[in-house]
Amino acid sequence: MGTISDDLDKIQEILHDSEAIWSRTELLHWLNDALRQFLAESKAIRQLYISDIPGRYAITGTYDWEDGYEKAVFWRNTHLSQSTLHACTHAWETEFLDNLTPTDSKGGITNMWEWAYLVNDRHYQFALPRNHEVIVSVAWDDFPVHPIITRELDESTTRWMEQKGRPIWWTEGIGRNRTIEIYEIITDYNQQYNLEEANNGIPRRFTGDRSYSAGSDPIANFAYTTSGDAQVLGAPGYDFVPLFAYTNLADKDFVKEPAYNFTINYTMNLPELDNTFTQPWEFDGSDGGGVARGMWPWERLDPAGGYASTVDVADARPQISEPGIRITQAAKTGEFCTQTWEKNQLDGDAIGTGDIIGCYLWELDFGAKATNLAVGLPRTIDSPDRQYMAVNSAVGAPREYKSSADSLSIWHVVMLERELSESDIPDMIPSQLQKYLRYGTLARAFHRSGEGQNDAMATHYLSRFKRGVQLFKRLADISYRDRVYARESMDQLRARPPRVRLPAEFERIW
Amino acid sequence: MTRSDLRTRILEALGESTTAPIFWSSSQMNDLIDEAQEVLAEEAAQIKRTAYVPLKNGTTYYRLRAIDPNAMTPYRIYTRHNERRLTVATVMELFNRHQRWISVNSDPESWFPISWDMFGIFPSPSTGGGIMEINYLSWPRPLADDDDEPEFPQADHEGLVLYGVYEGLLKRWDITRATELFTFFMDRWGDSRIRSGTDKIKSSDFQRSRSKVGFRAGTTF
Repeated sequence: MGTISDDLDKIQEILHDSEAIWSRTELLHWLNDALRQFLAESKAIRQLYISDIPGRYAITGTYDWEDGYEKAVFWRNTHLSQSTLHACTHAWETEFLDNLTPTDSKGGITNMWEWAYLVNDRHYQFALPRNHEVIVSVAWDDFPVHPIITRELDESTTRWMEQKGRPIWWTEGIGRNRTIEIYEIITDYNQQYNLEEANNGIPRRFTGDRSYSAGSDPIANFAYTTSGDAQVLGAPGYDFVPLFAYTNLADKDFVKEPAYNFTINYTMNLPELDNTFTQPWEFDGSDGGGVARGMWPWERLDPAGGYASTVDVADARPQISEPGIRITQAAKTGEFCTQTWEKNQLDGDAIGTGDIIGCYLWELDFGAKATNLAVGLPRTIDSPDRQYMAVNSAVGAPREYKSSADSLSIWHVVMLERELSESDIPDMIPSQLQKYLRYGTLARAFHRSGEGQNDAMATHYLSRFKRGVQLFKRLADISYRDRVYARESMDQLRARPPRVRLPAEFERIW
Repeated sequence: MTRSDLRTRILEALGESTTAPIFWSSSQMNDLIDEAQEVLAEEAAQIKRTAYVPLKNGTTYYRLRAIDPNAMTPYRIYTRHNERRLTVATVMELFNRHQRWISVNSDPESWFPISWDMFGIFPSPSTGGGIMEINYLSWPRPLADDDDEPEFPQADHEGLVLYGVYEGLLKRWDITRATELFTFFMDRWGDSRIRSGTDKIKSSDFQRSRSKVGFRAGTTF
């Protein structure tokens, strides 16, 4: 997949322009515009968003101007009153400000999660992510939550926004863009995973009702006590014994690292066509003598010369380097301490208690002190009972963990989170469709007023771009090729039965 | 035609030197041929592939791009261990059949779309094992070298030349002739579809509803 920069190069080729008419910055903006249009019209990129209950806002504030300091959805925790002159915490303040006798009102809250602790008169709302575009489906605790318009709720019952029970409907509600409300509401505080010690960055381990264990085999097969150890262990000569030996580069994908290729490789254009030999005479067709060849480096110690060093490929024996687990901690004076109390002693702090210090992860099962994951961060999470999915890969590493249990799960169409730069790869779309972004950019470039304007070219490229959008839209329903189309709906849509509509001339009785 | 033949044909049609073209480099021309293949595959749905995916316990969602980065869209999913073709459903249909469909565990009977690169199966198996055979339309792989040939039938190779010439004319801003050639190229899509058999399948798509067909035993509704 090429970078945006590669695409801009190709666009400039078509435009026959080296920034005399169209600057690269201008083209980059248009390419981003084309990508946004591509995603918005195709609605092909859908992600799962899970919200704890009650909902969370990244920012809440007292005045509207505070919204300007944060890009996330803003929730104003005060009532706007008297032509924006006042911000009121309680509803009765509005009456008081107009010299009216205040009516009793419920408490004011500053965050949506305070619903769990305080009866209030605010709507129960959920903020959606910044990249949200359109909702596809909503579920609570994996039960369906169906869409409804606010008018129907208003006409159905009073104070529906406070009605407690199992959520059945979701509505756009009265909140700002990218917020929804549900009916009925659950105000019990429920946070699926709590990030403890968030100041340490990304989570290293998990605890909870479920059983978690960290696996790192075959990585981190050693433990060390000082940073110097790590350097020595990483030096040549301190080799891992490979777990596997293989005879062909193609085999490499199927064996577990670290592995060792012990054959001579005669490389052709395609790796899968490699011919592999174990003896030099096979390589050149000569009838030369053979040598004893071993499968493991230690075989070189064999007095019969079992290990031959005539391999043509790079000797890629993995050396002990990183990662390992350091089991000590450094005191201020530079010493390495195994126990925390030793560090306390050397640092002059209050002396704490001792722990059982383990060198390996498996020792956790035998009472060793919990140690961080050997590879730094969890790469995958597996369970025989449920599926764990990486939902938003754009952030590089997991920042938060969610569960659909007792939570609101929302499948939604998403957009670009930020403007792409030249070094970015537009990986939200398949690389094969990247050409349509070029067409969208060229359509905009040729359509620009002034020198270089060419309406015929612009129209043509726009039609190519639109065709790409239609294709992606079709691919979004990835089952369209296998679906059996029917003359009638396969299932009745779950929806509220229609209301009785009386004619306008129907007699009114008061 | 090999890639070398295709390149020569395109350059000849554009009036360029076939050995030392001025306005196109060889790599640009090779990229153009790969792009022509992609467009033809998108419109003619000719490239088909099959992948085997193991069924894992507790797993509902599968990413298509993890199965094959060239995968475009599946057209058949078949579980080999129980010899069953999964029927297509939507999430709404699953909700209507079972309020908490994601908690149902049994042999998979349906598959449903989520996003362009993700689909789910229902029910998800409670024990791992078994193979899911996924037949899908794919984008073609890029041609490896000058002797490599496109996977399309021979009759469609000229279509690739037409696309290359069309792009060449666009580079000259000769929109009139380029549009004309693109029309010729589009005319080829219909023939290609018939050759690939996708239109033959299409003729049986419209039929009476099968909404009364329920799921089999072992599934709670």
